[in-house]
Order: sequence, then structure tokens, then C-alpha cells
Amino acid sequence: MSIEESIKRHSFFRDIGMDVSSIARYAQHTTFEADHFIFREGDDADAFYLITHGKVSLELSTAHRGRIIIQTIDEDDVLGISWLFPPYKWHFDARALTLTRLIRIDAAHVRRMCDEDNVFGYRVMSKLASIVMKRLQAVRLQLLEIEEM
Amino acid sequence: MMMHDNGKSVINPYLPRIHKVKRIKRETHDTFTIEISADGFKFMPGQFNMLYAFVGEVPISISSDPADGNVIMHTVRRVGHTTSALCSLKAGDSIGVRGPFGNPWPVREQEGNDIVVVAGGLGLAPLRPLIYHLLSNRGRYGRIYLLYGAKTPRDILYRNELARWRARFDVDVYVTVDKADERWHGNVGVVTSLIPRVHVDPLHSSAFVCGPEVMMRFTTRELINLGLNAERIFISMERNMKCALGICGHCQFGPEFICKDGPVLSYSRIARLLSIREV
Amino acid sequence: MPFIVERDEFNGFFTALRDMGYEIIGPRVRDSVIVYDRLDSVDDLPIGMTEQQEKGVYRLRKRDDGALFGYTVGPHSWKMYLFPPRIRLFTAERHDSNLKVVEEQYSAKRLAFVGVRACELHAIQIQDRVFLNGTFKDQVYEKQRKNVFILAVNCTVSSSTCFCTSMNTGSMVGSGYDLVVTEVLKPRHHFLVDVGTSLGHELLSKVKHREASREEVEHALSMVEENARVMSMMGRRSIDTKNIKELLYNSYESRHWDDVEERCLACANCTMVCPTCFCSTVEDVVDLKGEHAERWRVWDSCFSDEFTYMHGSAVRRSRGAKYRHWITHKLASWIDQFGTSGCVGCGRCITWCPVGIDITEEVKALQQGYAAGR
Repeated sequence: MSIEESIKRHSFFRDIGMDVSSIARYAQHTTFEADHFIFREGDDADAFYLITHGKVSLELSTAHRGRIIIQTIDEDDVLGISWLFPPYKWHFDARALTLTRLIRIDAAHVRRMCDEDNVFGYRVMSKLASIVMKRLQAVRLQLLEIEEM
Repeated sequence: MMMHDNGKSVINPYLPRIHKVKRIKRETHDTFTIEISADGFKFMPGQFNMLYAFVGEVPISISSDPADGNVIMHTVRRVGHTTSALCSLKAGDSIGVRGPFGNPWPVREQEGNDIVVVAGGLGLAPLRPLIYHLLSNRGRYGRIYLLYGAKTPRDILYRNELARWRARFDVDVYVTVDKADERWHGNVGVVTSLIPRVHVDPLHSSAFVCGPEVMMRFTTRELINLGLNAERIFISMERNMKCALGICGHCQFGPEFICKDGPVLSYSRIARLLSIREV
Repeated sequence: MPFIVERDEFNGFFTALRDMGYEIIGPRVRDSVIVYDRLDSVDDLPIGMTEQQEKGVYRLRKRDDGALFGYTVGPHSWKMYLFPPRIRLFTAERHDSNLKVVEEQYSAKRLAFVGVRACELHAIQIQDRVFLNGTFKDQVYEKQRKNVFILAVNCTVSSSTCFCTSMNTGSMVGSGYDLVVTEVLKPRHHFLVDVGTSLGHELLSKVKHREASREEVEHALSMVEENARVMSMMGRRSIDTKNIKELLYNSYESRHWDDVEERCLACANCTMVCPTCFCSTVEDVVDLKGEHAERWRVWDSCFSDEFTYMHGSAVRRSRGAKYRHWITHKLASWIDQFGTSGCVGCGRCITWCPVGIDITEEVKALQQGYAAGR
């Protein structure tokens, strides 16, 4: 499958209703073995990832309890949101839990596309906002559950 | 126990019947399964017993296979005085049992449908008899999903069963934990984050949900987003209970007595009350 | 066919009831209130007494006549005899790994309730539905209930806190009595007596009586009707029960509960004095050696934190939510649960509330709030 086809089929772009072929020019397939880091907290958030296979954990290192897994994300999910907001630094570590295949898209290019084509920018923003909202709700539930369970 | 005669009790319904403890199985650091002799005791998935341990009595869901005529199981988390006494019992000890009480999971009415079972924490216990029932009557149901969320990997109940169910090709089992360290290679996130994995025909699907109330609220919302009918989403409620007979008044949730109108109720029946504080 | 029993013969009921093996329970003055307790003769009744009742107020007052039933209801209700405040459910013995549970043997005394009001008879019938008509019968209640003789009284007086006419429970006694009497003070102190059961007939046969004339019947009953008319007048307490269930079910999120929160003390008085409130809890008592245990059932109140305690905290913590539960149960969910309102309009909860919360005013406030969309 061409990278363009893979991007079009991924849940993030599947129903965006725009031509995404130009994104493909700034995208590449990438693979991580289990336990390898995809990015580290504090690194430049210069890309965003579409997971096409595998499982990724978002983690934080803590002084007392070692590494804490905040969340896991899977095939057809999006990895990385910090690339959209200054100062463009990753807030978590991302680690492949199993053999993981992703499409890495150059963030600067997508940001440029959003600036130039506001309709495209709006749709990308809407998609990301809904992901952020779902994760926020999950965190809220997580907080409540920790009290209740 | 001959509890009924033309709908009326003939035996003092406050009186526990004595059963023998066969085994106490440690499930997690704070949760134990108390296995007692069945002695003719029959129940339906989703029902509960009042367990008497000399120092007090508590309502505990029945967590064993309803088709097993030898043993009745109750999974108990050690949190207070009475539950600690229950968890400290040993094989051969006596235990007082009243029951079974309550409205069961309506399994017959959902035949032919796809089934989504969602459990949070100890909520897996009253769902286990349901899962046993679904699997021993596998042909009567469409796709079956089990989504289970625990607090941390060490809180996961029934690891053997989960592994066995996972190995089957005719049921999709997903487990997630709220928090984990790097040794955990499974899902991390709340149980609702598993719902996108569910691929059912929403018009012909039923869901059975049990867990903390807030988890059930979030879960039912997601199931309705998926297109399920609120009348076919069933949740098992919990309230303080003293008698289990509909007399002590404690377990009221609006007009419902959780002990006899519940614990299993359709979401459509209580959706509004669930969204109101301090009911 | 109604009958007449003269005042001087009234003690005959007491003598005859005792001869029939009944212990007589009825109103008498104790600690400046009219309570229900054991009576030995007609002289134990609060003769010539009445009370002044208002929100948070109860005062005994003297009447200027010798009326036997010239008052209404005090803090007690008959439920204390049918649904005992404290009763042992069973005892248990434990030796090594053996546990033995010993069933409690309940015996019921034959009790004659003298002076049961229309609202109270309704309250008894409401508790019958709770304890006898469910999936499980309460054995203690059933046993005692079968051994009760009811001598009811039609009300010819009312307190300002009474609102039975608006709840359709008074002032005339409807059904469920063995005997019902109407007290007539003038021109001659006597009682109109009506028979409800063969047992009532048996009692009456042991007391000197004669057939009542039509005029005597009309005169006595007109006083009961007049009392009902007075209670139904403008300015008197009442609850408009039209759509009451819908009103309360739709008021769960009313701001009015915040207002109640400011006043209610969650003292539980309303639930203790209410003749229909039936909640109970259990207490386990274990001896020091851990060999002998007892389980007791005791009255409980939905106003305590322990009532809804679960996993480390109470479900209903605020007083507003507790009162909301109580009044919603009483006036709305009771109808869904037992096919009847849980309120008989006796007004006890109004009198005995230390801060003067008045169920009739709360309903009106909810009705106004609902109409105004609050």
C-alpha cells in the first residue's frame, strides 16, 4: 500500500474530506521494536504519528515509583499532540510496547498547511480537539475511579 | 432454601442458613473468593447473597458458575469489619447465608443479540456468572465482548479465567488498567477507552455493565454513542443494604429498592436518577 | 346499625377487653405529653385534656369539659407495638469452626388499641402493605397484627397541624376497625358506636348499649363532618395531591433543597414520629469470648449518615438531599412502591420538628418553584 493510501485509510484522515496527497510527501513509514522509545519527554515535537500497527505507551519517569504508564494507544490512533502547540516539546515518553509501525508526518509542514488553508486547518484542529477531549474525559474518570474502586 | 410458598416466605427470612466453607482463594492483595458448599442452593447470574460472619452481615454478589451444583462462590474485598472476618475464614469453617436475592441479568431476553460486557474493578464478580452462562450457551448469542478495567495490574481478578476466555476465538476479551509500571505490556487507560474496539450490530446488541457508579455512567454514555438502545443496557447498582427483603429501606434509589427491583436494572429505567447527586 | 353507649358505661369496654384477654394500650398523659401506653381503666385516658400544636410546638391544655378523646395525636404512634423499635432477630453460637443460629421465638400479646384515629388506621394499613404484602412477610409484624383489637375514634376536634382531609384519610374512620366510637359531649355525654367485625360485636355485647336513633346518629356524625369542614377551610394546612408524584419526581434538582439545607438539622424526629416510616437497621453484638452473638433489628432513619454509608462515605450527605429523599419517598415513590401515599396528614412531623419545617409548606414551595421553572 502506498503511503498516501495508508494515510487516507487511517481514522484520523479517513473522513476529513480533503485532499491529503500533499501530506504524503512529508510522511514516511517507520517501525519500532518492542521497548524502544519513539520519542522522549522534552524532545522537540517535530512530528506526529499515525499508528498503523502495534501498541504504544505514554510514560512518565518518577523519582520514587520509576516509570508510570499514563495511557496506551493502539492501531488507528494518533500519537502526539504537542507538535501543534508552542513550545513544540513532548510532554511524555512514547515507547513501543510491541513491534509498532507508524507513519511519521513532519509537523512543521502540517502546521504550514494549516496556516495556508484554514479549512484544512480547522478540520485538523477539530479532529485533534475531539481526541484531546476524549483523553481529558478519560483522565477525569480515572481520577474519580481511583477514589471509588 | 425454601424461601417462598405462593410468593410468601414460610421460613424466617432474617435467619441465615449455615454452609461450610470449602476454600478461600486469594484473588489479589485485598480480594478473596469464598467458596462454600452448595447444598442444593440455586441462583441466577447477577443475584447476591447476604453473608453472615458472626460479627456482621454484608451483601455479596455470587461470582460462580450457575451451572455448578457443588460450589457457590463470593468474591469479597477486605475493606471493613465484616468483610475482614469473611476473608479470614478457613476451609471447614461455617458461614451464614441468606439468599439468593435480587433481580438477575436478563440473559434469556437477549438471546440472538451481540453482547457487550463491561466490568470495572470488583464489578467483574457479579458478571462472571453471566459470562459462564453466555459461554455455555454460546450458540444463542452473536458476538461477545468482555471489556474489563482494573485499577492496576495487581488488582486484576480471575486471571486464569481471563486467560482461558482470551484463548477462545468466539469471545473478544480486552483488559485495561488505570495505572501501570513499565513491566505491564497491556492496555493502560480507563475501561471506556476499550469501547472503540467493539464492533457489533448496535440495533441487535445488549450490554451488561457493572463497576463503580461513575464508571457505569461514563460507560453507558459511550455505549449509547455506539448506537445501543438504553433499554438493552443493563447495569448492576449498589446501595447500603441491611435486610435484602425490601423492608429496611436503606437501599432505595428513587422508587427502586436495589435489593429486590435491582441490583440489575435497565439503564433506561434509572438514567435520569443516575445523573442526579446524592440520590 | 349504630348503637349508643353512655359515658358511665364506657369503662365497660376496658373491663370486657381485659376479660377477653387483651392488654389495653391507649393515650395517657406522661411527661406533659399524650403518649400511647398501657391503660388500666377509662380514668387513665387524658380526660378533659387537649393540646395546642403548631410548628415545633406542643403544649397540653385543659378543656372545660370531661371529654375522653378531646385531643388529636402526640409523638407516639401504634407502629411501636406492631413494628417494635428494637427486636432480636436471632442468636448465634460459635465453637471452633461450627456456627449455629438459633431462631427467635416470637410471642404476641393480645393488644387492644383504644383511641385509634382515622389517620392512624390509614397508617396501620399502609404499614400492612409494607410488612405483609411484599415478597417477604415480616413475621413479627404479622404475628402482632393478628392479635390486635382496634377501637377507633372519629375525630370531632383537630389540631392546627392536622391535614388529613387533604390526604383523604379523615376525619371519619373508614375501615379496618373492630369498633368505632364518636364522642358526643352535649347535651348528654355519650358515644355513638359502630361495629366493624364480629370481634367488635362480641365486645359490644358485653357493654351496656342500646340502638341509636336516626337523630342521634345524624347529630354525632355531623360533628365529625363539621370537623372535616373546618379542616378544609382556607388558611388551614393542606397538601394539594394532584400530580404530587410528578411534582416531586421533577423536583430532584430544585433549588428549594438548598433552602431546606439551611434549616434542617437532620435530627430524624420526623421519621421517628411518622406513623408510616418503616426503616430499620441491624446491630450485631458479640460477647468478649467470641462464642455468642446476637443480631438485633432497630428503628433507623434516612437522616443519618450511616443510612447510605458505602465504601467509605455516605451517598446522601447533605441535609437537603436527606430531606429530599424523605419527602420524595413519603409523597411520591411510596405510591410506586406500595400503591399508596406514605403520608396520612397526621401532622406529627410538623409539630415535632425542632426548627418548624412543615411538610405542607415545603410542598407548596415546590409547587410554586415548579410553576416558576425553578
